Amino acid sequence: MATLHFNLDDSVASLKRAIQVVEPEVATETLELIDLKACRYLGPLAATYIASVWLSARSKPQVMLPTEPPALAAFCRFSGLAQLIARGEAPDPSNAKSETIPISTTSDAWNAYVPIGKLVHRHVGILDADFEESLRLCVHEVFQNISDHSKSGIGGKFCARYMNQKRHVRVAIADRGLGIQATLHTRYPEITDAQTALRRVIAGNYSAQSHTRNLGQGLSNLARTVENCGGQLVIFTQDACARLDRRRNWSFEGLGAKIVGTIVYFELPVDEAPDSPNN
Amino acid sequence: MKRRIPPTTDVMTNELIIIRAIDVIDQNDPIPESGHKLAKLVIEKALRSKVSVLISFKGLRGVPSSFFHPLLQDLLEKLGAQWLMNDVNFEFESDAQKSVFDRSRKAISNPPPR
Repeated sequence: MATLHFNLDDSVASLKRAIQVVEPEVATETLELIDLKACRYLGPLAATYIASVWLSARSKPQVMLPTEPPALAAFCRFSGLAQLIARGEAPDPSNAKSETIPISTTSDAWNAYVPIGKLVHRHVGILDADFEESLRLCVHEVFQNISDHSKSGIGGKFCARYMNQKRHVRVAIADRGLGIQATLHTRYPEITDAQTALRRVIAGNYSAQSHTRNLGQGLSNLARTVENCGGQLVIFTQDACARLDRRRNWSFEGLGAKIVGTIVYFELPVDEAPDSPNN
Repeated sequence: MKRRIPPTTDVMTNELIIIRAIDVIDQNDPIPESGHKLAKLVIEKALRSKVSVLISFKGLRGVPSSFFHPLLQDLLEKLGAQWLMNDVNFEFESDAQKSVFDRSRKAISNPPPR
């Protein structure tokens, strides 16, 4: 039984703790229950992670979702977690008050951005063109990477939330595929650990060339775009993660457990267009 | 059966063929496929005519590197580095798009190590 009695607040530390509890049971196929009842906060990173674990499990674990506070129960509904894994109410993504995109998937990288764009647009109004282009590019690069390399049985799952008070958008995209190091290892046998693999793909010009035309720029473009926007980025893969903070510092660390596949999480500060009525 | 009229993909002046990527791309196609498709059209036009080519990416949003890579590599293979250097110009939707393109262009001359 995986009991997560702490808040999963989109921080590296909280997801790392969750991974350490959940993944050993995934690896031994003993995961029967994920107990989130004691959580008092869940963010899109947590929702995406829990959903991807649940969807990829051969034998579906029971998931106990928190029922209070009301805002968290609402998040469970609007994120789609309640419907997906607890047979709860369906989310209503068109609800004007919803700050969350329900957990979704897409095989269509050109249009993966659309629901996220609609969410931000609904809360902010007219978006600054450069911001919109950056957000779109980040989403497209991640989905194309999943499609090209991951071999994930569940494709890519994503969830996003617009944080009204902080005026930023949070996006989490998870696959349950091979992971970056395992993919790169097919072409670069010398890359034997996930931290080195992360450093390589972030610097760019390293590719497993799952398709002959791959040149290893996707995650590097993602990193540069988030950096230019003054955002935050975390990439979890296998037993490591790389984190870019708002001050543009990179850090790399071990997770203390090995996840299946890769999770990309980023936050971008939202810019409105100069002529937006909100400005 | 009514024949489908293809969209206008290029505008020809005396010195220049303008090819608009947005007219060529079918957003139902995978992104790399779209890059190949545009390259194929550019190659056809360039081989048929001696004038310069302008490829416009105006109107396309969030174009990832996996679009530019097959496009540029196909052009390089079929038309050569000299053509890519001297006979084609590119027009961009935004600075962010140009930046992704520039990195892709740099990457084709410095491909990943083996």
